[in-house]
Amino acid sequence: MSQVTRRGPVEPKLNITTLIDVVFLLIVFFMLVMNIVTDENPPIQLPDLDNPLVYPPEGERRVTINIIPEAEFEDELGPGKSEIEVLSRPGQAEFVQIGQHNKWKIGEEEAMVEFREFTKKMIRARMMGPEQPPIIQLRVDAAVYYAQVLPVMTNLQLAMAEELGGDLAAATPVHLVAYQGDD
Amino acid sequence: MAERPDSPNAGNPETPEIEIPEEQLPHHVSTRKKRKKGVGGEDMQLQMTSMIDVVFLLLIYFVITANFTIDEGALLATMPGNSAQDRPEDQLDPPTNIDLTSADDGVTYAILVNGQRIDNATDLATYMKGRVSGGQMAIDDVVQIKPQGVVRWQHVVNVFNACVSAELENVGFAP
Repeated sequence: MSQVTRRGPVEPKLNITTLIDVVFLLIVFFMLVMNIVTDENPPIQLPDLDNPLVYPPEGERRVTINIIPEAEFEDELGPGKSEIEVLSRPGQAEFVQIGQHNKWKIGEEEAMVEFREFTKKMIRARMMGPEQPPIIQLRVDAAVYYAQVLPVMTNLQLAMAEELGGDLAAATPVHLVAYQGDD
Repeated sequence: MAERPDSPNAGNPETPEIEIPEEQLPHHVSTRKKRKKGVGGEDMQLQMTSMIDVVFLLLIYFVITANFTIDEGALLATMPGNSAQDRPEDQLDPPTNIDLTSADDGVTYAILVNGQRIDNATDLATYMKGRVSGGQMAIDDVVQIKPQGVVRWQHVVNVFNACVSAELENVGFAP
């Protein structure tokens, strides 16, 4: 409010400091909300490759399929661990999940059908365009046996073929997630 | 009001200085000193409290986000049972089979490329590169990785990575 005093009109001033306060709060809030995507990645010990050619996949919309091992890793997860330490754990998988949704037992026929149906729903919901499927990521713990991954891969391929159609499904690769090298 | 040299508006840049007649200003007092006395000069203090507020906010933000970015990357792969691999023209050339077997300890593994034994993934990359540059196989030849059930995922992806680093384009998993 502008008041007229004996010394002249009081100039109205904007309190920028509090404004910046609020703006920063909003920025932080939105950045955290964006990062919910990373919550689709439950912590697992990924494969640590000899000479990795991996790169961060580009694209906003993702469907992440996680295979969680039965034995939890006691230490902090991350690259650069000795292979013996990582692979001396039992190789049975506990379950497969899409992001943090549901938990399907691998190998059980009914669970695999449910997994397939849910994968189709997720792909449909996250299409980036009419002919642009989302980025499909397969995050598997390094110690898991291939026999446990194979049914997931086969069902994933079936879901993609049923949802996207044969040609588009064949042209859509799956991203195998591993640690990036130091370089 | 404008004639008074010590009026609050004297230091304000919005008020044109011409309004103050020159002869009314004492010559020994600079306008700079005058401005210090004015209202504008008193507001130049830094507000530490709110700045610390903001700095703490930023600190918390970076602490939280630091945990999010684990350095993950991905390799492009086609899944077994892909219709592209079942085309009859691909069947004309028998695919290069890479068999993976594993010992009981789960750590050691062996690679067999069409029966030829190779010790590890790094050697496999050099071997495949040699085959491509030696003309024994083309870059777009079908390569199928056939791991045994007990081979760990670590080795499977490692072998896949080795094939990709040999610039092979048609690497897949056997159905």
